[in-house]
Amino acid sequence: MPVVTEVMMSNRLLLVSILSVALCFLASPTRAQTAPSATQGSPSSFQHLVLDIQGMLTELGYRPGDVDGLVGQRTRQAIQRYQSNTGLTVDGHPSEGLRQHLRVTTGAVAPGSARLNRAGGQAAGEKSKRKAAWQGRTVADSLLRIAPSGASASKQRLAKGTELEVIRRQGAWLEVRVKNSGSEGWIKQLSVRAATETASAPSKKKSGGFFASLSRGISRLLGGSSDAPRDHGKVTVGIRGLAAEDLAATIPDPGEVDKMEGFRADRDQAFRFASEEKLTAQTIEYLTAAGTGTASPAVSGGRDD
Amino acid sequence: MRSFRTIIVIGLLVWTSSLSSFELGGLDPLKITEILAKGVKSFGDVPEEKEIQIGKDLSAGLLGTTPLVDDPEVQNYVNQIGRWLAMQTERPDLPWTFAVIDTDTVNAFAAPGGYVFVSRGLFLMLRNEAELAGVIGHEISHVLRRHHLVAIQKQMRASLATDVTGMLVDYDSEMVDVLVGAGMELYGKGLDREDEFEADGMGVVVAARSGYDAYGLPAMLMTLYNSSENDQSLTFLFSTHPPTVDRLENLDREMQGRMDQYSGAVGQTKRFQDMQKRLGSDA
Repeated sequence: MPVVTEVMMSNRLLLVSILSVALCFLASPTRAQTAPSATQGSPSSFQHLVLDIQGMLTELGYRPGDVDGLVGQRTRQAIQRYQSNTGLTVDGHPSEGLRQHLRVTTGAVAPGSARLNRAGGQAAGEKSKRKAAWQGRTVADSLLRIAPSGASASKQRLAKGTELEVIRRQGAWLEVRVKNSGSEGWIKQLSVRAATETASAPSKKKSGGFFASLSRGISRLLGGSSDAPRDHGKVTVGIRGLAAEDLAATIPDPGEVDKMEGFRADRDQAFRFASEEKLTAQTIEYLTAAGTGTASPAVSGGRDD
Repeated sequence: MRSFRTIIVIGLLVWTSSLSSFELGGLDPLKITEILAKGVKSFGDVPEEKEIQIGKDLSAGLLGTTPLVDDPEVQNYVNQIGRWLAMQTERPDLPWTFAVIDTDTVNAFAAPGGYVFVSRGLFLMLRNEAELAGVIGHEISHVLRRHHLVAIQKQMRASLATDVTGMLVDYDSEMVDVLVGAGMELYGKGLDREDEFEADGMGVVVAARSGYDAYGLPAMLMTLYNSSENDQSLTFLFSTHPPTVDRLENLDREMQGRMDQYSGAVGQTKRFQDMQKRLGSDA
């Protein structure tokens, strides 16, 4: 990977980005045999690769079984399902390219961010060398914890505005490195904003919008249907838009409402829909008293099959 | 007798609203007050049956600008997920009706009585089924809390300098023009901040109750937050909602760590990805 490293060191972001795209394409199984070579230096680095892949597949709901770093049947099947869903060639093989692809999908690479995640190309087994996916800072005083759970011990109290390097996301948690101290741990996703924005009055202006469109382009290239944001913003000829003026000038269409009502689902259909993905109903109170008095779900069903 | 008086009131309202989008025309406000006071009961809740009719008429207004996406599979899908979510709420048996509407503009709407609309542009921006559940949960919450109904009443009250809540209590199809006029104006300018914050907090809970990862809605807001303010497909949404950073901070405050145990539930599904593919190729 020396070439990649060198290019990365220089500031030719366009090239870097193109190489990143190329990396993602290594997920293509025809090259999968060669892809893992970057991680075969030690057994543990391959295990880390598998752990990462399993973690992200779990997060995406692909159920690869235990996150244990071992490639079993369930892991292979989960990889195959993911590859199939995202238009990759299906081989069930945990490759570096696959990890990169998953990072884009899970949002470990910040949407619209310039800093494409290149961590996988480095020695993934060594924690201290892991590259940041994107830069952020805390928006409030927050606790850095040793694990992605509110129940885990806290390592350090971070003041509002602490600069962080975000390594990856797991559920509602981000694994981060504190820029000043280099200490690593987990922090709640909502406590962190991308560093290009200031905490209280974010300017939406990215450097020329170049990176935003680049990452959209990448996600288009990847062809994944679950990737980072679509190119919804691109204004093309024939865009069908809707604005306040259109609403004010509406000519009501009751026939279209009748058509809409024809698609209503009944309870049985809703239950079937839920059981297809093993959605289980939970009893959870609304967060504030303002959210209506009666908080108990009318349906406590949920089927476990 | 009552219907006769109602017709007078409606006629008057139609006329005044046509003068200058629901501002008072040159008419003497006292006179309006007088007529309204006679003709309309000004107290009581809008009965559910009326609420549904109001929602239906507002939906016709919305769909008059933007029709349904012509894909029964997508419409069935969104009705099934929507109904499943609605079943976990305090109003499970409203005639819940959901639709994906054919616009690249990113937005979602709710109308009283259980009508919910998600734009194709929004659907395509989402990353997984949990985000969609969060968005629909947010819209369902507007219906649960009757946000639009209350806001339309408020708007009429302000415009006519009188209490016309009774008008919606007695709503019938002859008032449709007035209602749609006020309703479309409301959709064009958006609800109060507090209503949006409340719908965000409730939407997270409705999604989690339904077995989805609770962080779908925050993740979707994060996407908005990281989007360009110059993105034309987002202009309408940004102009009708509080700043995204305020919404995220509100959710952060409300959720604290309380929803973390519901993170890691169902997020992505193949069926969601299939629907996105269908919608992407429809475009």
